[in-house]
Amino acid sequence: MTQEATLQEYEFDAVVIGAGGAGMRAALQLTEAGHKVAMISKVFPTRSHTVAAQGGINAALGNVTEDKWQWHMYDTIKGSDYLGDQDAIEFMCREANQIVRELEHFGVPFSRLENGKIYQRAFGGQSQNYGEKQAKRTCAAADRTGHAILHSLYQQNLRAGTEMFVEHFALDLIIDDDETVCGVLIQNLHDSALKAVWAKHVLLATGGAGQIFRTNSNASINTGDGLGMVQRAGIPLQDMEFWQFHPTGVAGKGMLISEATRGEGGILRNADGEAFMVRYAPKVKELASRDVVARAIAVEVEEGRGCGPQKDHVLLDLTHLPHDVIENRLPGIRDISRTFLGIDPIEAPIPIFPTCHYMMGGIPTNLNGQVVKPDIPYPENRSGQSVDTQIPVPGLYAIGECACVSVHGANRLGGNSLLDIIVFGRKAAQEIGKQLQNNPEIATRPFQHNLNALLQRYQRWLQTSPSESAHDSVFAIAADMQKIMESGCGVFRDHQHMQQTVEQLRQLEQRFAQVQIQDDSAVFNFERCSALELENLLAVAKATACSALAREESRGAHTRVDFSERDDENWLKHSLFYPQNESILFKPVNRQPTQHAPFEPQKRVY
Amino acid sequence: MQILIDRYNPQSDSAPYTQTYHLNDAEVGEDTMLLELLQQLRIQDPTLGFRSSCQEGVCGSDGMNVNGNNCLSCITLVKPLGDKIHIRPLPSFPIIKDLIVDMQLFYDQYKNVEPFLKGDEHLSRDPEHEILQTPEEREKLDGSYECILCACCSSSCPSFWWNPDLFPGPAALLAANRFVIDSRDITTIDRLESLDKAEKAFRCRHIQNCTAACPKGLNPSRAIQGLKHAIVKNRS
Amino acid sequence: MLSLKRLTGSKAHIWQRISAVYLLFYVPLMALYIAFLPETNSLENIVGNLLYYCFFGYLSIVAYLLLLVHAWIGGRDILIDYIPRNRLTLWLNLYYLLLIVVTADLLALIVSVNPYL
Repeated sequence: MTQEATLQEYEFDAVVIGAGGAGMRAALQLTEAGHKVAMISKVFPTRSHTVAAQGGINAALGNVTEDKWQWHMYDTIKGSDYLGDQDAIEFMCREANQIVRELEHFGVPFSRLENGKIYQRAFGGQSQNYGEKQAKRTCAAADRTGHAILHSLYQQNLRAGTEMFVEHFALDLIIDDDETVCGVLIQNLHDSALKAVWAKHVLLATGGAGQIFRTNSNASINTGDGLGMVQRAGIPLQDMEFWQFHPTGVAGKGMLISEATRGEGGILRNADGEAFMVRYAPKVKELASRDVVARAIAVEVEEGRGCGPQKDHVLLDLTHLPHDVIENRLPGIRDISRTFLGIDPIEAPIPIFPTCHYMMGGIPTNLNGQVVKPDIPYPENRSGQSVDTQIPVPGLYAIGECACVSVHGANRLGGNSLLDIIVFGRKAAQEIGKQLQNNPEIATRPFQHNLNALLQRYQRWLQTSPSESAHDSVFAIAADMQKIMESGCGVFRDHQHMQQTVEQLRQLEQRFAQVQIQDDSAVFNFERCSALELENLLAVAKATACSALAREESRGAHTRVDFSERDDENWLKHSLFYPQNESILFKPVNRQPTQHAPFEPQKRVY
Repeated sequence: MQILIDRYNPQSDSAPYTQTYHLNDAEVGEDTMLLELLQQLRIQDPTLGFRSSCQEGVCGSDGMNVNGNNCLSCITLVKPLGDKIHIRPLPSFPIIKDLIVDMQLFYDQYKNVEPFLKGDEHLSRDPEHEILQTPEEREKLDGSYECILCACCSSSCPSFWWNPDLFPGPAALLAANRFVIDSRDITTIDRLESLDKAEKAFRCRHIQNCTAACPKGLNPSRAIQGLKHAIVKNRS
Repeated sequence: MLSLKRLTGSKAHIWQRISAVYLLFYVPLMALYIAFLPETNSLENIVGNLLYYCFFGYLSIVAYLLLLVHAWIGGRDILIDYIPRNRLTLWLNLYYLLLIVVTADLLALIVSVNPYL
């Protein structure tokens, strides 16, 4: 029996892949507008990683300190080290207030102020009046904001009656001979049944890929599946060199300790007990943006001022805070610290070290969430003509962490990712809704498509090898990849190590081409799922290493030891990585906001 | 150290059986979590089935029964569990494979209590203002909204074991209560009336297995007590 | 008696409480009452005394009705918990019948011990 014969088929107006905050916000919008929409998720929706977001969501509500979206925009652009697209950042910051109030109306239990309005806390990189006093802009539900938002969105989707394919893994995009994306090939993890979901519009909301690094704050499901799919469809990935290392991960383990701890007054101390941030960011100290704080911690440890017997971490001190602040504003942090370290932050400081947290790069999109690519297939075809890098791929959209609009540029500000997913989740859904209204009649199922080729790629995982003969495994390759990436593409990078990383990744690709799985079960075959995920992770890792190797400057989270300065003259541009020949094309940064004068690059001081 | 895991593959087994794994004690540190152990075992035996995602106790994927108690494997330390650890799937749910259970009934019960805010129509459409709520009103939601739907509570509840299709179970009732006590929700009376049935709120006997099992330290039993009080008060 | 079947949810909860509290006071009172009876040699005598003398008779009738309610609600809940779904209706009806028989039996006893007859 061939796979083709057992293929189940479905037709929808739109299909959303991923059920995190972005996917669920988009699915909600589309379902409410009356479209036939399916939401596909490889885990039950509330297991998505948005659930782990802690600190909050930024909006210039001005509930605590006077605030304006323009100031938020300035902070975000400065935080992005001027690599963020200013039109996109402007759009996001202008939408923020309505987005947060809408979430509140969806039922999100935000913490409150005495006057009944939403509580806002200070976060890194926030200022009033373009870089003056610290602003309090992050709307929070204690330190469980992501959980509160994700659950509320799931609840709203229950209300709206969104159709869901839960525990279904997306393998590949189905593309017709006009290069229009017309569906997605998915697999039910319960019984391995393959399904072709035909749709006029395919929206990727598959989240990040932090699993390429060993120490990370990400869920094990964050394997960059959307990025892998897009790359296999011949679309380049943008700005993949920029990975945020969150300054305060639980030392040695990686779980996140929210920036809210510093927003509420937490202090970082080295082995001498010194509050060292004053040396790196004299004005705002602990509340500098994340790349600055992460580097500061790494330098302290590098220079021998780390704590503990291995001198491999620093301490986050909350002991001076009033108990009720920790109990009421940071209960989740207290839980994590007690569970994983046996330390109550009320009594003792928390050992922390930077942990891989967020992917600033991703699938290139425009303001409407449409995936865009250059009008040439490969950089080599360039031959002098100017390249338009913003050609929409028909039928394909991407939002959230998997997308690169780019609102985060070279470094994301805390509290901006929850905002990003909701703003562009809604925006992309509105755009799809508009397209569906304008062209209600396009057929979903084309005559010519690449489905057979996609099934072919999958065939290899149906063959298994008995465990005795296996000398390599999917799990071993994944572990090696994480180690390689950590040593070569961590907080500090240099040419030699990254060159080595690229070569090691090529070897891993060869190993991956040979590896076989042992589990032949059709029911929840995790080994096969891990293999498919690893293929995506390897693609992301390769894109990261190659893009990082190419960018010969230090900008935001990308810190080159051998090129320690930012170089606006040569490198104020996005990179687009093509896997076919490991080449990179560059695209200009947008510096044309519509409602505000452009912000010119300046030296970044906190 | 002995790890006993209840295994079941519907394709090859007619009934679940217990498989014993042996682990070197040295591999288990003071801070090793049970999930890390399971991940180790999966590298040895890739057919071992269990769910997991966030690995820090907030996503609720990896509820399982360990030495008789329901817990999340990612935040359960191995050392205090002793030399012999018996891991079973969450009780009362149909087993799909190994430690993976079918939670559809649990999710259906959650959905049935209409766990979404029904605020004032006018206020809910106003994009310029939030619906106001005092810190005291908001404080009432603490202990209710943090639920992660891991099902550790419902699968330890005898009332849910007997009637999983009729009785909402502690998780769903906790969610129901979360919207009853939310000052922004205007359908409190409808909610209370829909729960005022022998098989709904009043099927709870307050044996408090749910509260003992909750890995997030929530107290569904007390929330249901509150619900019952509210229902009775609403009647009179 | 028929309305017992409609006693669910909060109504059942409230009646269970009311009957419990009533019986909590009634039972010790009844014990005292019996202890101080001049002649307590037969069941007829006791029942006759409990029911037909002074206002304690009214208290006893109320107690019996509440006991019936209490037993119905409690027993029904246990049956719902433990009896397989497809046999539940049968068992509930049997239990209902049992309560009717007990009541009828008691009525017969009451009538038979009526000292005024």
